[in-house]
Amino acid sequence: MCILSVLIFIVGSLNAQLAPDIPIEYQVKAAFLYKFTKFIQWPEDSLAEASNTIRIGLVGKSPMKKALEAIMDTDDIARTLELAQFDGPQEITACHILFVDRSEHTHVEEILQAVSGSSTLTVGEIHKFAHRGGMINFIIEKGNVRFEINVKAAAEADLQISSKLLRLAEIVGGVK
Amino acid sequence: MNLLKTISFAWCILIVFVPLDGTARELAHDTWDSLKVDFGLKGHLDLTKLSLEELMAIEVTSVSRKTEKLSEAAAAIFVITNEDIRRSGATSIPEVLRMVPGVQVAHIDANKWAISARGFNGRFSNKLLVLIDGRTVYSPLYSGVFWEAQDVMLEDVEQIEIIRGPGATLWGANAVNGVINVITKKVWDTQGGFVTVGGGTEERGFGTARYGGTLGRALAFRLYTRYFNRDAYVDANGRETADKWDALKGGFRLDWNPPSGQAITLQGDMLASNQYETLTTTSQDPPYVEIKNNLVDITDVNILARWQRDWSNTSQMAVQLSYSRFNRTSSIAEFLIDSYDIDFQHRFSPLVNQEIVWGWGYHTNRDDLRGVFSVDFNPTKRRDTLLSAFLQDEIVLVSDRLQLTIGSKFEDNDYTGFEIQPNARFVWTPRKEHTVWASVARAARTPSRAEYHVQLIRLIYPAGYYDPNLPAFVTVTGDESFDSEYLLAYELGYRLRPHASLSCDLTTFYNVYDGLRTMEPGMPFPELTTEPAHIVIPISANNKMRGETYGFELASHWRVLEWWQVYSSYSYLQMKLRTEQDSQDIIAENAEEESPHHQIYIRSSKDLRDNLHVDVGLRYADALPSLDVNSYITLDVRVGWYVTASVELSLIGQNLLDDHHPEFTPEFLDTQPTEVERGVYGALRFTF
Repeated sequence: MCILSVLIFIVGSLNAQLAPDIPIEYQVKAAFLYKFTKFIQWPEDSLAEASNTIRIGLVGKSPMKKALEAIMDTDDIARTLELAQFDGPQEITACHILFVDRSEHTHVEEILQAVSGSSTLTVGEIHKFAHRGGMINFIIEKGNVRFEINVKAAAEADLQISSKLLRLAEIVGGVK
Repeated sequence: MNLLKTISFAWCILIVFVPLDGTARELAHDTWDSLKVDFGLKGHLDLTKLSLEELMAIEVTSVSRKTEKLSEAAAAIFVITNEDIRRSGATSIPEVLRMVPGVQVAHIDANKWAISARGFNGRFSNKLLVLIDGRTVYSPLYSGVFWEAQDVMLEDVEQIEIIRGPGATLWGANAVNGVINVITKKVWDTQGGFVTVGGGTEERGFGTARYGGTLGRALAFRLYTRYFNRDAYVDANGRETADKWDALKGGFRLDWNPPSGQAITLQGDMLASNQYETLTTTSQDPPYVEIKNNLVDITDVNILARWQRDWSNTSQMAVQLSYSRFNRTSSIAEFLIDSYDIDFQHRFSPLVNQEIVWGWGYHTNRDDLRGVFSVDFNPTKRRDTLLSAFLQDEIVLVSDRLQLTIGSKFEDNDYTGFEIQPNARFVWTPRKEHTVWASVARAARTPSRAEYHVQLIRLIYPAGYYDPNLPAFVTVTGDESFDSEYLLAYELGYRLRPHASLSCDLTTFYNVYDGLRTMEPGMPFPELTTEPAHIVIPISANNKMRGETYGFELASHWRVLEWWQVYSSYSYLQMKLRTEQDSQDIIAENAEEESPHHQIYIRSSKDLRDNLHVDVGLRYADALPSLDVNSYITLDVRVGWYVTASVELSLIGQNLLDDHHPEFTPEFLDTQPTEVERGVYGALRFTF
């Protein structure tokens, strides 16, 4: 009887409309990335390219790409964002924001090394990413997305983070 | 059994034809601390319009039992966070539970506790369901929990949810007065490693080590091992007793997140523990009683596999399988219990304002219970099966203001057959800062192996006392006509958040019990075939008591200053029990005085300078007159110093106000109760 109900359930659930396969966690993180651009100031001469577009680089294969593409689906946002996908630290070129997917957790040092000296905002979702020199790290706390900010690392890259953003973050980089 | 089959089959058919579509509920900001989002025409969320705070409030985990925001739950729920555990200085789950209003925790001796919710406390208290990561740890032996075998590594506990009352539970059997669910962290949140070592006066020595790593993009693991050695307590005169114990535990957990919203977990633990106690037991030779230091050897192995899948943003499914083998050996008995469990659950929204959760479970125990003389079971081996199903519908009547939940559990067990446990609750949020909820529920506490089949020789009268020629054995005898105990529970709760820095949670309850257990003497009869021949004076479990319990529980959290928080809880409990006219149990009503009327807990938590955490906890429990236990007030202090970001030194003092104080006296088995001693220990934790 139990097997029967399992079978029936499986058949029944094939009726289910499979939702957009972007996990909600990444939809939220993508929205955060977009919002960070409003709370962070890059130095005047940061990137050689045209100043209106924000270039977001992604290291590692990530659901973040689809999530960002979904955000860019609207006309007004599409004009302001540009995505670039890098398969490894050696491919990284200049961008405003570099998102490091959790699959790249073994390459954190190389990635941070690759962008050191530039004004790239490094954002990750890796255990202790901010403690290791990344600037912003997404963590999940009690089912909600939170972020840790390493203020010192951001300052070294000449990035100004608004206090409105700092207030909501967990500041790391010193002894808590 | 047939009714259960028909109902579950009917629901299965219904599921097939009910369109499971991905329509979500409407965007709403009013409900304090929660957010439900609008899909819009694009089929995905448009979150860029939300503020930072709103983004931070979105639920991104889809756990099988949905993590409802605390403020919305229509139940007396208290959540202990990892931080609460760490800062309390507690080293075991029972000690952590002392901060929860409505929960009674009492040490019987250094390795045993009596724990219950809303009364009826005892070593074998049977009205509380305890789960660890969704796996039931309640023992079918006596419908209770062997707390001394549930050592969970506290550092990796995500949170402990305690729900008092029966209505909110959709989990397994016997959640009559409450449910405690210990949830460990996902492997992704325990990457890297740590080692903790420490020791002191009562905590003689302990060490824990854990390492977590990844095996690919979506697969991660953790391994841990833990050892502790605890000192014995003392008797009323301050002399050391025999009840020391130690335990070695190890385990692993593997989390795999393959694409398309799936999460698969595999976890297992092994425990080996030695515990000493002083036991007074009957023996078959004159003088028919002996007092001995008994060594209890416990081993517990368990493994659990769980698969969760999000079919859409409003349809989630979870399946869980678990197995455990529990072995408890001592000089008076050897118990072996194998448990197998399959649980299934599905949550979906057929209509915009409704969410349905339904599921079923199959649970079977195989046991082998053998005694030497004073304790035995007849039959010694048995296999019990429990089939359960549940269904709950959560209906939003007024968006973000009023919500009604109705549901029921259906169970078919091998003792009393079919039991139905319905409940109805509603939540009303008139304004952001206020939540009112109410619940009515019925619950059944089904019989256990002990009540049906035990043979416990409590007392022996030598020849010449009761009978001129033969000794007489007063024996607690199992009786298969013992029925379930029933509860009808009414609860009302109010949550208030008058200010961002202050929250209060008040619950009142009125519980009506029927068929409560009494121990009734039967007709004595001669037993001439065994050695020695004797008269049996049987005492069996019957259901000849009823009564009401009522009280209220208050919990509050006050952030006095940025760096100073005060947590407090207060519990008030009154029990009014009455045995039937024809009952001959003269001590059953004593249960009224075996759980404290008042309990207070206050903890002040300060973050000093940059790296110093100081926590001071005060605890008070009212007297237990029928057990000859006085009220006590005691103090726990913890000072934690982060020497560097990855090294923490801490010093903990427990039970500081008295040299020693008693907390409880146990029933049925005459284990010598001992008094909780003042203790101090230090710990060093190194993270890498």
